Amino acid sequence: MNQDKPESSGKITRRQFLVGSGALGASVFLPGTLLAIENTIPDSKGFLVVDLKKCQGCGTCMMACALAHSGIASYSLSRIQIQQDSFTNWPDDVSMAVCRQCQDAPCVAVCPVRPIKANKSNPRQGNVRMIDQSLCIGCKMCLTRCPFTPSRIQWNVELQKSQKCDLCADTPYLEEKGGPGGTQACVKVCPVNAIAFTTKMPDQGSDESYVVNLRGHAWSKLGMTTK
Amino acid sequence: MNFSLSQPSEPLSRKILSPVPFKDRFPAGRLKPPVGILPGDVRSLPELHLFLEPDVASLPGINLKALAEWVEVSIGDKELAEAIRAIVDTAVNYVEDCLRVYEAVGVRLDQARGIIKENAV
Amino acid sequence: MTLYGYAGKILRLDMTHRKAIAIDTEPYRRWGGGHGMGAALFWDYCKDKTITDGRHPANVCCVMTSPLCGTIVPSAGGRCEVVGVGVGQYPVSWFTRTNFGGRFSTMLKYAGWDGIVIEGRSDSPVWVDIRDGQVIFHDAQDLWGKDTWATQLEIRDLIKIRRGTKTHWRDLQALPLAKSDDPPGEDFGRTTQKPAILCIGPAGEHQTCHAALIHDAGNGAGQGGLGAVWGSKNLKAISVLGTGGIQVHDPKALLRARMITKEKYVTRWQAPDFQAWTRIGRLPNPIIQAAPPTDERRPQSCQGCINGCRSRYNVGYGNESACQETFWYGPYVRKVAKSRAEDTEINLKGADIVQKYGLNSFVLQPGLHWLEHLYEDGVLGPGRPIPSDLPWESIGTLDFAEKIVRALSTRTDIGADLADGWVQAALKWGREEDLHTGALQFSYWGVPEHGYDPRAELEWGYGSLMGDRDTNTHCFNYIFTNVSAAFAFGKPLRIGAEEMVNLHAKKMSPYAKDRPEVLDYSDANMYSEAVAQIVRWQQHYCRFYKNSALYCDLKWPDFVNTNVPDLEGATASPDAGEQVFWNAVTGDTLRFEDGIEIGRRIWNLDNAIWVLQGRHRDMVHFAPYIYKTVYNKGEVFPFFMWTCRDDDGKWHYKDLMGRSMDKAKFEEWKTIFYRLEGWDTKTGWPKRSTLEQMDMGFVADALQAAGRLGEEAS
Repeated sequence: MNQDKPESSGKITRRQFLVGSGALGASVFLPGTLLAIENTIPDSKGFLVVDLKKCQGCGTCMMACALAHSGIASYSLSRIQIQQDSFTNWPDDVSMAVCRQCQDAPCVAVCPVRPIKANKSNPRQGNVRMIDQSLCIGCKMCLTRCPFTPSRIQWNVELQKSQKCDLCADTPYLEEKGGPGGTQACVKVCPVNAIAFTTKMPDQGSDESYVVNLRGHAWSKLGMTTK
Repeated sequence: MNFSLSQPSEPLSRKILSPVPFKDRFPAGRLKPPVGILPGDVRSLPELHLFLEPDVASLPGINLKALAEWVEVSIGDKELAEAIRAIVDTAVNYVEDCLRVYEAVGVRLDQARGIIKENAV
Repeated sequence: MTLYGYAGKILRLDMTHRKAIAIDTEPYRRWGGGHGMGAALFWDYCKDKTITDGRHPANVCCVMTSPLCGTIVPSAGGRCEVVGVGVGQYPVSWFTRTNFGGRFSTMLKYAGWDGIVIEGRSDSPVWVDIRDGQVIFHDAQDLWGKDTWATQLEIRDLIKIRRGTKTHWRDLQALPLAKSDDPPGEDFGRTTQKPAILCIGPAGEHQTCHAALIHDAGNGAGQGGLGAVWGSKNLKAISVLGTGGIQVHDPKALLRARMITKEKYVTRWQAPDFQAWTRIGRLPNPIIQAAPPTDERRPQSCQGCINGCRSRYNVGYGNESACQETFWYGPYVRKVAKSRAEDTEINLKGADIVQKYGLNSFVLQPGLHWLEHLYEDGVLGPGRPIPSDLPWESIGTLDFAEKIVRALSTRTDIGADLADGWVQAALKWGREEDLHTGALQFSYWGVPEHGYDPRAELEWGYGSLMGDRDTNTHCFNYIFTNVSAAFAFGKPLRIGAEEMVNLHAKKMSPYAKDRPEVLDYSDANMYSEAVAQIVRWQQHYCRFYKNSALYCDLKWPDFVNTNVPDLEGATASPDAGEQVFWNAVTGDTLRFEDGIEIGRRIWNLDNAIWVLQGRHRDMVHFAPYIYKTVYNKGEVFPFFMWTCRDDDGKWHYKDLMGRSMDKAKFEEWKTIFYRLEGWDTKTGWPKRSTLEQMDMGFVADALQAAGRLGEEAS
């Protein structure tokens, strides 16, 4: 059920934004540069990298992510998306969509909320690009702007807000401390350790730079390639 | 382990490479968790060799003593049968014994194939 | 009131009128989920529980999840239970069960449904399309005749789900074929996932016994012929997309217990013990029966599993197939294969064949040997007393594999007789002697013996016979496989016999707690009250924890675990036991034993249904060869090692080869079993006092009305 959003001075509400920018449809199709707002945000202090050849497709990371953040096990609420196709061969049968914590973060750039953006880098959490749910107006601009497939922003139908990976910075149901200096539920829970956390920013110009090889000696002894 | 088997004759080589009739088949199963014991049989030495090929995930199920008898009577290869008996008599453990029989059968099959190929030229 | 772990609704499909009806889950909560709920739903919605052929329109088939499905409970999040009256058993097709893995139960929960009750019969083929709360019946004439893979791909095409990965988020309502009376809008869920589809192939369409339900490439609900039940209802497929979620009572506790399982009970990746004696604690490895075709592969698993048992490869065959379907053809492939690689290829393509036809391959394990025997004896074949034009001379080739599977699936050639039951066909063909000699090794209820002979592995055989089918519950039989393998390799045993039984007995409350004698399978003990207790324990444990809560049979129970210093496994443990996860998800406060008690109630409900179907102790017999011949697979494997006590009471691992079963003594054992269960020992029927003690007086009433209530003073 939608909740009424308070309209207070200085903040752009969803209605104001939609009225101001014309039809939502039109604003969606405006090139990002026309909505460009200068985006000089500090780099994230953490990133998730994945081994696409290793994932066993169990979905535990998705369920753990949703549980840690919301107490609800769900695919659609998961901030990591594992997609698989039973009728496709390895290695194209699985893809792992993690938020890249982009350096220039188009999702942050496009967030229209003022004076403080809802989608922004959080200096108290290692500059993780995360969406403040109390500020999000549900315009879906960030969701649409994410250049990756699938979008790394999820739509929470219940709350009518966008959400995204925050490296477990805000995980009320995870006992350990999250965020770049702490634990990521997906990394910790993965039975085959196909997801890793790194502080080193992957090459922002490459589609493949977040894909790494996490397969070692044990993998080889199990009879699977480490190439 | 070295297996010094003399070169088989051409008729013996043909028998070594051919299946025996169904009624002379030799029982040979597999132990593979979690399914259990999978029954089966072998009807030729090439099939036996494939059956005994080492496999990390399952174990062959075969009575090696009776196998020697089968090789002698149904295949007609007395020398190979003696080699198998020698393996059984100096038993290490079941798996090790199966491996040694595998090697011996492999040597014999190579010999037989070589004879047949030579004579075909 | 929040039903933590549950979606809260069950979907009834009225196939006759093509209507979808939502009912509340809450009244069925006491049965847990899975089998228990399914049996209770069957009890309520099957109006004629005397039926003994699953193809009867009164049959009700329930596809059930559990509160644990769609959560991170290790190796429990992805299973799904299917129940209903089966097809093709002998002499009676009991109310039975089957189970499959993959993504279906997770997706169904996220769609908002705890299960599906399939009633009645459609007048023409349909497939059912579930998208969250929307349920749509579609005509399936164009799908009918397609194999299970083609069916799933076609359904994806119909709702415009692209092949491959890296696809966009999709709004469910924006997919084609949606219900037109629901307006599109912003409030519909979205997903990146493919639909989870459960379907039948030609075997189910032709209503043949051993017809399976198949999901994705390699998840099969194989036993019981439930695929034939769907075929009889003209139900081709159920497709599910779910965008919701499941509220968990204590997410922190759940996450904590999951992490403990990985860190304490599973062998460490950094220094792995590849030979660990444990079930939950191994690393992912496919359980295919042939060598993997390539190292270019990944492990693949059901949702939530802690170590996957399948693979997907780059070779284009064998994906997601594991276990027996990868070796049903093995002994014959060896006759034609020139190399291990070719052997693997034919075996895995043989697996693909049975998956596509939707046929349970287990029947072929002893069954194909029997048929080959008949062929070689001149009894079966072209122009012979049992006519068959199959190319028997090419057995072992892929061509023959396809042809025999097609014959069995389409009621052609020998399939015409075998389709309604193999024992029935044997009798029709005048081959009753084969059940006496063991040439046809179908040891209980007209279904194949599993590879763990009833004369050796007692809990397996006894449990199967006292139940409805090949029990196929691997709770204990790694004792045989691990120990026998250790003997075969001449390696020291990691756990001695006495320690092994004590570790088990510690966890087998309530009936066998600290009673290691329940695992003594020696000749002196094989008909004892102790063995009756292990059978009861196993059936009750499985009825709740495995068949209802849906813990995977391959990973649970975990009695012993060499990854843990004191060797105590995860089962019943205070940090990661079955009850810990159940309570974290549901908010219950079960002790481990409470789950066994729920299982006992479910087992009693099952027995009540069987009794209504006509069960009487006089029918409860093994096939004659079990009593008449000696278990001597020594030629097939040298040992069958099990824990036994000697005359001095000392524990050893002993070889159980070479014994038979005494029918009269087994009859006495049955009496002990019935007495322990609180059933009338003259008939095997439950007594009112037993049922009322379990709050099942309504069951006693039904049995009494049918004249089949057990007498109290027996």
